[in-house]
Amino acid sequence: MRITYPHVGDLTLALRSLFRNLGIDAVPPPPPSTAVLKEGALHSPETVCLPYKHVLGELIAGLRAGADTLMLIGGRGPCRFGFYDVMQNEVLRSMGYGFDVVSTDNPDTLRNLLRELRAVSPGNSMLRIVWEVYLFFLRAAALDMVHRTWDRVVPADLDAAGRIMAEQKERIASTATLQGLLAARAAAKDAMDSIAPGRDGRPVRVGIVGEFYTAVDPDTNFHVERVLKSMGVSVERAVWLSVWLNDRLGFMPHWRNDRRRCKRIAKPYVGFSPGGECVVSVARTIEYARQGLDGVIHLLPFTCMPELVAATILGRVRKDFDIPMLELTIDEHTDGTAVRTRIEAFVDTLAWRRKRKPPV
Amino acid sequence: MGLPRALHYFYHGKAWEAFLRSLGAEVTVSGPTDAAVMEKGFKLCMRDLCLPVKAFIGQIALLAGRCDRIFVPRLVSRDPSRYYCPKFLALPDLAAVFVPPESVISVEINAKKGPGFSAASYAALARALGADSRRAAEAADAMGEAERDMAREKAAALAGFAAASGPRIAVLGHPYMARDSHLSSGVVRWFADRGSSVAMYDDLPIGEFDKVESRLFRDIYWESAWEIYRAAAVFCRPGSADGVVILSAFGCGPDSFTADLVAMKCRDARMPMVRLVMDEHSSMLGVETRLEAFMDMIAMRAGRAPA
Repeated sequence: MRITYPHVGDLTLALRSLFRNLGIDAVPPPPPSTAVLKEGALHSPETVCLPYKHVLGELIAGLRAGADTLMLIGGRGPCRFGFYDVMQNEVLRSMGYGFDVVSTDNPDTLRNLLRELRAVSPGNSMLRIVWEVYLFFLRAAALDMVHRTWDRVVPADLDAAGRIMAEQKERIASTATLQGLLAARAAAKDAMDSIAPGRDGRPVRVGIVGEFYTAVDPDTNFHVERVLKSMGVSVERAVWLSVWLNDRLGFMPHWRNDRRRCKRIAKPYVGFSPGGECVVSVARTIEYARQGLDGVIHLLPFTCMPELVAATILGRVRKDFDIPMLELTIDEHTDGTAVRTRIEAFVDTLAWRRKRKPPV
Repeated sequence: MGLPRALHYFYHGKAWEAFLRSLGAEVTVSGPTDAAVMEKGFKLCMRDLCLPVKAFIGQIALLAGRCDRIFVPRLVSRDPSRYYCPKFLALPDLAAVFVPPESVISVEINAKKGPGFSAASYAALARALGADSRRAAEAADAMGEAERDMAREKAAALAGFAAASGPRIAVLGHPYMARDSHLSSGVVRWFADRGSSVAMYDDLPIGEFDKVESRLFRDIYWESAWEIYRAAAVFCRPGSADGVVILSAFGCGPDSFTADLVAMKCRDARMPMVRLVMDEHSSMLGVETRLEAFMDMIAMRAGRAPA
């Protein structure tokens, strides 16, 4: 049995470690590329959301590389994400591929994931699988910690800072034990904190909200965080893999449930969650405005249902809280240069606005 | 009280109307969608929302000048295993962006957490509108009566379709697209004018769908997509219809999957099928050319010369 899985930001690193530590033979997804995306789009419904096309392309590449088992992602609605596994199963079989499926079709319970993992690694006891999944979560949280620190700092040398981040992430991903992980986490924290800030004073601060996949995957969003940082902007991101996992699966009982908190904050604007990250996008925008951030970028895949609702409602939030917003809709035809130009214009506006408006 | 002739109106509009009237509200149903409604909708939201949502926004914006309240139910779920489209889940919130939030009157229909479409939900709404329990019960009765009328109309339409001699065309599209002659570019009319009879998927009684088995490893969880997928199976049965039209709005989320699944089903059943995707740039001329080719295909299959 050889398993392959889709690429989603740092989840790829965390899954790689999980499979390796459980002794499961895995084919990692190919590095993100236009060719992989085009292949996925070719076999996708025309107007399905972008993450579906990315994931399908990666699964096809995995099957070509010799995988015979697919880890599919799905759920029970209301957004299209929950139907990915059903549709991809239909499409790949109609293309003539044969494979087994590991499908975590209920993202809200851990039991489902544990049972599926048990089925593909018969050599491991349930206790060991539970432990490794727990380490997987801690690793995801450590990766998020590194990335969050990187987001906030505006380094003197962006390339060097990027290299430090990549090294530290790789080090965290290569750990096999709790002790190793804790040591790597502490070392990563020191390394990230030692990155020298490039300039004094108050950098422009921009929040990033939006659909999960598009927001956490730099290869999908044209490295929007990096583009911002190259312009001296400090970044706050609304969605994180470990927070997403913890809200649903409750790894850390003492962490507050971020989704529930966001629902409460967004309540005056969103009376009922239409799925996806809609309530998070609305709630975080409100919070960023209150915290005095200079602007917010809203990322969404073309035709994404929950984020289109969010985008419409954010039109009201933006007026009520007087915060500038840039909406970036992304699909397989989006051009990176155009995205960069729009971000540059947006940041110029924010800097100019700051000169006119006294700080709060 | 304003009732926009859009989206949810095409599911239960007449029943809501009867209900609100019975409570003593002065109900204004907005006019059929036309160019002015769409113009208003486009102006208010210049983004990638689907055509029927833009029509809805145009309708409520035009109603806002004429009514002090606008009724926008929150349709979440009819069956506990399914949802309506995410845009329906947040429809009152979307409405509040374009009309004064305090004017939006809503009720949550959610079978996942509560009574769903039942007397209890309606009584709660009646109470919120200030009616006593006697009035509420009367209003629920009036609503039930209107629902039964609608069901009778649909059954009659279906019986006429089954008995028709000309080509019989099944239209698989959300009622708020297919039954809105402006959004569907008059497709239904086009068939009727040429001697074909047309059945809408929602003419089929809802009980019919429960009998259809799904081949998928997990079932569709959007209400109308679930129905459309099953309606396709019903119309693909031998002798049930001569052709299928899949009618979608550009950017429709559930349809991006179901239209493909329905197309696969039609292919397997060797059922003539045409897929129309409507957006604000659709012109009847382009649609007509495709429909003519579609009708020629049906005629050739029946052994007749193309028109």
